[in-house]
Order: sequence, then structure tokens, then C-alpha cells
Amino acid sequence: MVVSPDVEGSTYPPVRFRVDETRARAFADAVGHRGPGVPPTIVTVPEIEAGLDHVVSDPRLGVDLSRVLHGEQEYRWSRPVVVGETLTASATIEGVRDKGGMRFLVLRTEVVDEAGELVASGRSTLIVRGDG
Amino acid sequence: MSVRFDDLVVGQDLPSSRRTVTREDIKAYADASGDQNPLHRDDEVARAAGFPRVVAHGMYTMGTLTSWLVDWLGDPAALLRLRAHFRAPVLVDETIECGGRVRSLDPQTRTAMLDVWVRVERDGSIEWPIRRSEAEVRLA
Repeated sequence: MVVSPDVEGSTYPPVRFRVDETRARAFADAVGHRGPGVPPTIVTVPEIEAGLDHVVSDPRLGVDLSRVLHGEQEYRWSRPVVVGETLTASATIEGVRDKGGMRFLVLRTEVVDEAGELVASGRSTLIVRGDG
Repeated sequence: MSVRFDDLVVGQDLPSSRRTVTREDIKAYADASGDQNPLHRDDEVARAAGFPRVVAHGMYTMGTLTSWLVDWLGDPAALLRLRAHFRAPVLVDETIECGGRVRSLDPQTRTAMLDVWVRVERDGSIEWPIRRSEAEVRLA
């Protein structure tokens, strides 16, 4: 596992995610969200598309999805997500380090609304298990 | 009914909640989130990764913890920040328990820091799929 040093700080292309009623409902059902509004962790949907999906197809990283474990996750929300809006998520590789045969990838994702205002930010630590 | 800041005291336990995680639940989360990692649907892939069977997504568990928290808060807007450390897998058909405790209170901003966790009983001992994790909430 050799990483070129220019991977840190690199940003993937932004992705758009429309929070339609059907998707919001499916997500709410999946996580057992009973109350009003949209589940706060629906931001995981564009976060995955903006970050993890790019990571596993990034030839510089050579990550096999079935070897990826989630180590940590943090979200900060500026306001609740609402049905009908379109969010844009963009992910940056904040750090890469190898330890004990595993690779730790830290991704930071910013989720903004149509006005460009920050809705939520996420920081994920992904652990990629080695071959042995 | 929403929780109010003045109702909270440091050290107070939040009402815990249990949920059994089925294969259908994990599939529903994979479809809703777009995370189709085979660890979450294929027992053979899970075994090759060292798990006895399919495991739930960490984000399924965190999403479930969030729903429990928001249900208690009564308002998704009250949740400002949530950080989770994933420390153990959740195996399909296990029952997880979400819990938390008030760590500190700031009357000036009417925010509370909560310790939150998800635990599961496995083979007579307690495992912690999410532990040493925290939520920051702002209340009326």
C-alpha cells in the first residue's frame, strides 16, 4: 500500500442530492425515525456518494470496498434538512496514515444548500484492512 | 413533547431503547443510503472479513442512535453535533440498546453535552458497537 503524498488535501467532484419525499421516507423508515422532519443522518447519502464512492474508484488509493470498515463519524448540523431541497456535497481527503497493517483515511464532507449555505459537515474515519 | 433544558441535570440517564436488527433492516438501510458494501449482505464476505455473519452498517447503527436521540429531544433542530466511535460490529439478528447520559450543561447557551452509546449483549458479555461518543444539543 503505497500512497502518493499528493492525495492528502485532494477534493473530489461535488455531487447533488435532491431530498425528495420518497427518499426521505425510505431513509426515515430504515433508521426508525418516528418524529417530524427528515432524519439528520440523511446527509450520509450524499456524503457516501461524494466521498466513499470516489475513494473506492480512486486508482491512487486502490481501496477494495469489502475491506473498508467505519472507524469514526462526526456530524455538525447548521440546520435541519428539509424535504424538497437539493443538497450539494463535496469531500476532501483530510488525511491518510498506515498503522498496524491498516490504512486510516479521514474524509471531510461539506453539505451545502442551493444558496451555498452550509447545512452540515461530516468527518469520517475509514479503516481499510490489509491483506493478512 | 420536547425535552426542556431546565428539565435536565448532570448525570441524568436518558430513557434507553432497544431494537432487533434484521436482515431486512440492513437491506433497507443499504438501499436507502446507497452503501452496498457486501459485508452487509453476503455472509461469505462477512466471514472472510472475520465476522460470524453479516454485520450492520456503522451508519445504520449511528442512524438508529440518532433517531432514538431525536425522538427523545422531540425536535431534529435540537441536535447540533454527534460524534460516534464504532468499536464493535452489530451482527444481524442481534438486539441493540441505545442509551445516554447528561455529561454537562451550559445554561448560557442552553446546550447540553450528552454521552451516548449503543450496546449489545453477546455470549453473556456486553459489547459496545458505539461507545465514548457524544452529542451536543440545544434546548428551549
